[in-house]
Amino acid sequence: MVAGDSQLQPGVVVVGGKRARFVAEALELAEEYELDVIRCADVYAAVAEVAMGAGRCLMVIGALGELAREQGRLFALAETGGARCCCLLDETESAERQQVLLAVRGGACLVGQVEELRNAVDTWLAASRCRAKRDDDFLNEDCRATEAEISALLGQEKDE
Amino acid sequence: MSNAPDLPPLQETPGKVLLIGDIRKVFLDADAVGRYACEVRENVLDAIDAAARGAFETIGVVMNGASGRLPAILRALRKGTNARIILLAQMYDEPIARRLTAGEASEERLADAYVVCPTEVTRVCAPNRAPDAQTPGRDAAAAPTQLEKTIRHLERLATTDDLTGLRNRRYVLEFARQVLDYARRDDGRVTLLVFDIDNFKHYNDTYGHLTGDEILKQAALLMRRCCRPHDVVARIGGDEFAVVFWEDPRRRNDDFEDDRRSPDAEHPVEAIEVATRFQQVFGHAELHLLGPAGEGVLTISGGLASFPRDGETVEELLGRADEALLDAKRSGKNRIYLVGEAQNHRADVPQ
Repeated sequence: MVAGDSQLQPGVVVVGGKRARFVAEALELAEEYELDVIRCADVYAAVAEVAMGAGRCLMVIGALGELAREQGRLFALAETGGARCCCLLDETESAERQQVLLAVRGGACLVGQVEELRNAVDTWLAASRCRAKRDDDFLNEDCRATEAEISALLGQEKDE
Repeated sequence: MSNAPDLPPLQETPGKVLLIGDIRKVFLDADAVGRYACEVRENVLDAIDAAARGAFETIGVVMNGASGRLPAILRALRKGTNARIILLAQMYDEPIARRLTAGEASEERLADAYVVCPTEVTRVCAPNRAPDAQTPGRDAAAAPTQLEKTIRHLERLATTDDLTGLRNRRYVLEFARQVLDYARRDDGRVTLLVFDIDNFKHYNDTYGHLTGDEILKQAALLMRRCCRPHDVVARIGGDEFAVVFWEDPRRRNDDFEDDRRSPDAEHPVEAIEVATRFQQVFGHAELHLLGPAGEGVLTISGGLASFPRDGETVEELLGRADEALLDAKRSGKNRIYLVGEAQNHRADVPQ
């Protein structure tokens, strides 16, 4: 790990029931990117998780209707805590204008289809200060290679 | 790089209390809250955030208005904090508060205690100076002091009818006021039944006061059995009783085995059904003190008034139900009248 700081290990807070298609997709993505996964049944639990993980790189993924409950306060709280929200627009229901406005004003990203989740996660990881574990491993490999090269180089120098 | 700001931790103060919801609905002296180490959050998500980030000893949750989301809110609070959670319950919330704090059978114990409101801020924010909240199953170490017991006993005396064990007039009027507020907000319906025992004075004079008392106790017991658990039955005067039937949207999905009426039924039909059933049961009650001639002679007359059709306030509903009761008496007794438009419509009560 780069910093060895678990605070920086990013995670996704997945809000919703098992049956939701985006939940399966989000879990797959998290596995692929080696992100920590926190499952929440509703927005209330999600807020508790975000508050407990304040300062940590978190992305809250859930349906817009759920995340925008209670006047969309989650968006502001997440932003304050350094988390990012990703709202899925339900394909079967037309999103309420007010909910969309709350999400946009709260700095959340809106996703129209489950397939767009990957882009949203990529964008978030690229923009955030923390890295996915997978990226850290790449970086460690790079470091190890460099150290080996330096040792070899130093060894060679010693030999000489 | 993220622009996440460094979050200052909330100040940790021993004994600090977090109050969630509209506290004006539960505290008689809500303005006094500023005198205590209390934080108030009206938005529940702000509150859950504050609870998880702060160190609160106690969290008071106003139940009024939380309805179906309450378990989710309480679970989130449990997740983020170890604080003692006290439910601030309206009178009509008490059965639910009891369940949430009891944690019986498979149910989670989502709260630690409840207080029936209206109450005073000290009850939650300065519990050392006020009687404790009601905590089902509390352990011996936390047993109530003698003062607490005395105060609870006095509270019971102040709201209970000594003879029948039912709620008294003071309680039922306050309950009706609270439940009407709830109905106004959530488009609910409330029906008030006022009834009395026909010829009660005759029984009292003929058979004595002990027999009269026995009749009243029997009426109370039977009416209580005919009602759902959340309806409130009270004795409001000599032989006069009142029942508040109300619709609780939160209970629609609950599966109560002892719910003898369809929760989806319309007011006042369900109230009429209860009254009718009570009338039948009461008429066949065995009253040994009346002797062999006593069986099947007891009847009641009643008047029903419904919110919002017949009145907006407790006083209006009580007045209209009383008028209907008087009409029922004048029309020959043993009947229940609804408040009508041009004239009263008699409920379909079998003779």
